[in-house]
Amino acid sequence: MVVDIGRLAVRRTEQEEKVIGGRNRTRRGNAYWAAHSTLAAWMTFETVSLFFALLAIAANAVTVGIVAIALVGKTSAGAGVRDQVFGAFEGLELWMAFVVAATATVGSLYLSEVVHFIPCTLCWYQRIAMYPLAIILLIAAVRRDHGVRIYAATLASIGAVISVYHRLIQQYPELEGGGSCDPAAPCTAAYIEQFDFITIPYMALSAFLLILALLWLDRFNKSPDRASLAATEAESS
Amino acid sequence: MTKERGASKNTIIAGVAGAGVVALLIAAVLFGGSLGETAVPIEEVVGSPQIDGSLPPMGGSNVDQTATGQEAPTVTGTDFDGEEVTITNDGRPKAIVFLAHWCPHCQAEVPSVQRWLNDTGGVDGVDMYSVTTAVDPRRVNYPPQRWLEDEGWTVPIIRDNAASSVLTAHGNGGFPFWVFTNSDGTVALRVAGEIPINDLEAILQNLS
Repeated sequence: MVVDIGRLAVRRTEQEEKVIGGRNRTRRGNAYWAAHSTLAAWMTFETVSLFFALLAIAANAVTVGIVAIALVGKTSAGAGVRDQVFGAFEGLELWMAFVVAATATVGSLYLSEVVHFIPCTLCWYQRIAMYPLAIILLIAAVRRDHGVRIYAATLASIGAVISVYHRLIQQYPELEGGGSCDPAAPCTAAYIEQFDFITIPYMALSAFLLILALLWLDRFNKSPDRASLAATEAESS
Repeated sequence: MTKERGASKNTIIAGVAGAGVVALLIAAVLFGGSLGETAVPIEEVVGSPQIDGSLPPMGGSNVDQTATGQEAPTVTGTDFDGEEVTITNDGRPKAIVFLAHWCPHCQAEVPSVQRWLNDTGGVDGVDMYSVTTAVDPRRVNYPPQRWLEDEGWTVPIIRDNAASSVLTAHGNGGFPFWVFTNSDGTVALRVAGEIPINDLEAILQNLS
């Protein structure tokens, strides 16, 4: 051979070796949907994936809203608005962060256990970051333990970075190197694509960012300045 | 009093959030089936190819010679127009590429190969075939025939079945998956992944 085949050689992933099992599992997924097509006629996979995409957009809107109000609040004119809006959510921040993490966790489990999409390696890393968030944020919300912020923010930040990378290699597969799709669960191939840009890692990123924004909101509402402001408001009323 | 006000405030926030989620759900139910393109039944996408023979699974590398020298399977199937296409030992070397519609590397490889075919006509004496496989209606870029038509794909196509049996019979590599055979019908090389056009041309020119 003239061509240097060694140059093309790249180690295949372990998942590629498991392709037979993966293929069977995909077939089981198809069989599941065929069997439940009548029951789930009004709640098709397209419906659920669109619902998840709309939730992601809603999460983006809330995140942008929090950031925008925080920025407006840096001006003397906007500080009152910021304190009024943020103050309305005081005491709910950790609960809201828990709801976001729990929704993402349930959605992730739905995709793997009901639809039978096989999670790729990067999906698993994001799950490792997201699933514990649902548990520790619930415990922290019940116990009103605001010290959870440092742990939750660390997990959410790691998850967000992985989500960004995952979304990037879906858009630009050449960034991953290797040049081939794992037949079972390639990270570069999108299972879902709504509105031409919302894929599963984008949904995960939306959740991680909203959790971070809510944790910041919790910190802001518990900060000494905010607390003194609340005390002043209470006195004046 | 303050506690009551707080509870009332929380109820309102929870109610608004719940109503928002319900609104999104209703929107998804109303538009979930209509935003995407018209669904094509999988029966129109997969075929019922006849396969005689099989190769061992791919080894640990994306360039594989574990099947080199073994007789390649004979496959008879149909393309998307229902025309019969056969890959058999007819004394000519061949390149068979397995394509998954959802794989971004296949989506990159197809136009690259087609441009090269348009410019050069390929390599004289070497026949090229493609197999659409690993079809999943839930995944992106479905159905594959629409994609290949849009790309102006001129390589003969065989539709794999729903179980991807043609792919499995050839060793099931990562996509795109290339199998090259010599003129005596034996396997020369198997490659999983995109192949730069210069390398593809070199491989084809060296098939005996």
